[in-house]
Amino acid sequence: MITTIIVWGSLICAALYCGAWLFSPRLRQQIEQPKHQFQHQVQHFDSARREAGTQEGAQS
Amino acid sequence: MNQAVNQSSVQASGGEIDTFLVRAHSYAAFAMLLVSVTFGIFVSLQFIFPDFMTSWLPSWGRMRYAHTQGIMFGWLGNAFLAFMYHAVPVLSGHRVSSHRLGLWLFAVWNIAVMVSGWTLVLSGFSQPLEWAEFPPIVDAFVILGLLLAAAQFLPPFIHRGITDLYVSGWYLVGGLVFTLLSYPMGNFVPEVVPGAAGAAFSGLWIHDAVGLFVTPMALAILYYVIPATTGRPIFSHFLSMLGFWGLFFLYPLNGIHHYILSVIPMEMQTAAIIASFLLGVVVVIVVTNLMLSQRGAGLIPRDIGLRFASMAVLFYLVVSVQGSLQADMSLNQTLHFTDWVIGHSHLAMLGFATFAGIGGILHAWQRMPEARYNARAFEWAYGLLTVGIWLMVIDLTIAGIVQGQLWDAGTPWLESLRASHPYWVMRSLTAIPVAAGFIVLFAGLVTGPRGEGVKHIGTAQPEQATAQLQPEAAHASRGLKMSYITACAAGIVFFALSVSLLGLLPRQMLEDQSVAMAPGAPLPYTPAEERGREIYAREGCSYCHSQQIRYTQADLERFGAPTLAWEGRLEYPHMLGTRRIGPDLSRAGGTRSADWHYAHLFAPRTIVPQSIMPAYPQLFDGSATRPRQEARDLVAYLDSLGRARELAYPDGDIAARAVAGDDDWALMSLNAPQLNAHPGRTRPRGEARALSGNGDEALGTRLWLENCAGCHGDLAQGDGPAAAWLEPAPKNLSIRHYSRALLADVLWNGVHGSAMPAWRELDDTQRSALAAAVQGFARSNDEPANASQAAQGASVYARHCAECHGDNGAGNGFAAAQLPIAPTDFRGVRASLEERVKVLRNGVAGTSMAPWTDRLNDSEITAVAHYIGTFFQPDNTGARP
Repeated sequence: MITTIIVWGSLICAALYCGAWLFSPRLRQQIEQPKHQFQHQVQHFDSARREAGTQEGAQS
Repeated sequence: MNQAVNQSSVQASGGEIDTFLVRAHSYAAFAMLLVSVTFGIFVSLQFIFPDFMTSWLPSWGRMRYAHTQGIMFGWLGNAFLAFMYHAVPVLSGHRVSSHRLGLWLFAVWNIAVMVSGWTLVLSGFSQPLEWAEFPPIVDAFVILGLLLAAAQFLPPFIHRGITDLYVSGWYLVGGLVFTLLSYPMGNFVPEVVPGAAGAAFSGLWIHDAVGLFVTPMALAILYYVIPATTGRPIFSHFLSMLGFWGLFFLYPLNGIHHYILSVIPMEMQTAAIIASFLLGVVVVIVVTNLMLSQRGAGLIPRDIGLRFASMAVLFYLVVSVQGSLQADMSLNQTLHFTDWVIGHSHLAMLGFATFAGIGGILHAWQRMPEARYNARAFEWAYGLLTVGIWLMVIDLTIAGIVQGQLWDAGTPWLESLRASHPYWVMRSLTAIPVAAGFIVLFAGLVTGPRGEGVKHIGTAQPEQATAQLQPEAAHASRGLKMSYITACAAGIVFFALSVSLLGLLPRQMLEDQSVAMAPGAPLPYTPAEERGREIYAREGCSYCHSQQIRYTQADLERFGAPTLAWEGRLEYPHMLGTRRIGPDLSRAGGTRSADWHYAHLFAPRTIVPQSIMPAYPQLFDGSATRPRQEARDLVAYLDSLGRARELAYPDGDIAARAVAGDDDWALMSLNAPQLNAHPGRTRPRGEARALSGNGDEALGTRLWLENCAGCHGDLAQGDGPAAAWLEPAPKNLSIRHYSRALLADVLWNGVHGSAMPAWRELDDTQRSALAAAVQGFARSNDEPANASQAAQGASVYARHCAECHGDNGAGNGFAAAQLPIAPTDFRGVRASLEERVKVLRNGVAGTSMAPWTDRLNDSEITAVAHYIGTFFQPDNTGARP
């Protein structure tokens, strides 16, 4: 009984998630957005760090 | 939205990261890593040199406690906190709650948890629970630390919202929340739920410690470092979220796979096994996504942080596949309790999590212009650690396979120790590159020019990422928002499900089974036994000696009837154990004499030359014959193990069988051919397996030195190193001739009431060889018969000796049955004449044989000594039927 709950629970959750992704292009786009936002943030952060490092290097 | 993102980035780049706390936790992490690894090295060296520095080091078990807790909380905990201080502002666009709160968190984590935890476990205050060894008072501070961490790191995410949160943020939030939920389960519940039911909760924590604390934090780092370094977004955020929810749903359901083939109901075991396999599938999805995210970075990436992260991904794949396989019953019955599991845990904690942690710290370090950075040192560290950890894991994995095979084959326990020895040497040698790698890595953080790390940051341009941002899709739809909220709720539901189905339900079922099958009013522990149990727990005995006979053929044959639920009813907390370096002790009670235990605890290798058990001389006043109260308590506890079922046997088992119904697993225990199959347990004399052939004396001599010389001495003169501590003293076999029938009997059954165990672990050929060696010791003591003296001694014997030793010297006189140690059967043994006279004059200490000088004169003593020699029946045919 427990095994059945686990297997079916996992499969249903996965199927719902995959189904939503498959049938909704907009959702697909939305789900992928965070990785681009993160990439933007982290690259911006890195360039600021590089600049800070260059300035400290120039001062020293 | 783009504006909001830019603002967040600017905030994150504008000094919002608390670099002081990043550095503080990083330094603390490496300091504690070096201490923890040092404990691990001592523990490992004592496998090879069991007496290595024992006079000034804490005991082996206490160091083992300090090692594992140090790695998890001291090293990984600090490393994750350091990374969170770097990553959370970038991920959320908001600073962490407060610097002052961070100082409190640092103090609680490092002083209240780590320093106090180590001090307490090394002083003997601990819990005998895997990954939960710190005592409950320290657990309270761990929870406080987790609460402080939640207060520090969750508000930035709450301010930001979850709908378009990047996967690393999800893992950090999930890790904090679920660790807080699961920690009390494994650390407090087993204190109030006994035996196997408590173990079910323990299992949940053992797995959740890795699955809900270590893995989410490590994956958060990998999902952060890989795209941040390659300059490319991860392959699929969809797959990363599928993996995230899969891990959080399934990890908690794995717990019981740490107790497969135990008494925990089989339905729960099967559920845990299925969940383990499903988890394996999820991990493959996660790893595939992470590997595809590294495309273009090369097999060995240039960036050192990415290089560590990349290797962590590989470690994660291997350890997860290994974990799923281990849950399979057919593999588990062989590999569980072996070094395979130790290799697996090192791969998880020292491979996957550690490499991810290092990757995260180095990534942050590069971005702190004020930090020193020694790139060359990091290169070296990477090489040393990669080689060291792979070698260690491969070595332990092979060792585990060898051990499992030997145990399955029923070979003597010491044989498995001997076979493991080269692997343990190799494991210790791998500590050289591993320790050197960590030292060099630490050196890299404190040497080198300041700001050097910034030069190693990649040069990907922000515009590349901004171009991918799609304003029209940036705002998550109401549907997606709802789906995330639903998934969060489902995560909690799955967690509650895991606690209910794999904790509460087995507890109820085990309770029902206990009530139905337990004999009426089984004995509780005496105060001495209770104290002994605490000593057993604090010294970490359960790390080497399990207390669960599993439902496997190998266990059934080696140890006896598998453990029933009610047998653990007094075990608060349980000590089922997850590793066997020594044999299982579930039925140790009545197996060895107290003398043997004292000698074995005081100086193990005197009595078992090949033993690697740590010595506990601190429990004695300088000699095994002077045990302190603690030693007496510990031996009292050992002697109580398995007692309740033994006392009720066989009626208790018969009654239990009547209520067992069709419970096949309970019946496997109740129908076991022997309740206690311990090969060393003494049994009534008379029935013995025949010795095969005449015996290979060379083999016998080797076996003698390995197994017998500790008590009887190298030349069998009864003068082994442990001889002085045993009563009755070990026999001087060099002055006695033994028949093969007697030797077969003694080797098969042992000598009850003495420290002489049965040697059923040896096969027929080995026992035969040992018998030949014993006979060889007395060859030079042959003596001519003296018929006239013997005739005179016959009447003396009949008057004084026959009542115990019997008319024909068979040890079966009418009084024999009343004696705790059976009178000698003179047909099977003939001591030298000198020895016979000596025994008649002095008696035998520890037995009913008194001195006869007050009743017999010298000539009578000499005569009866001659007569006794005539009973001996030298034979060469083996044992009695």
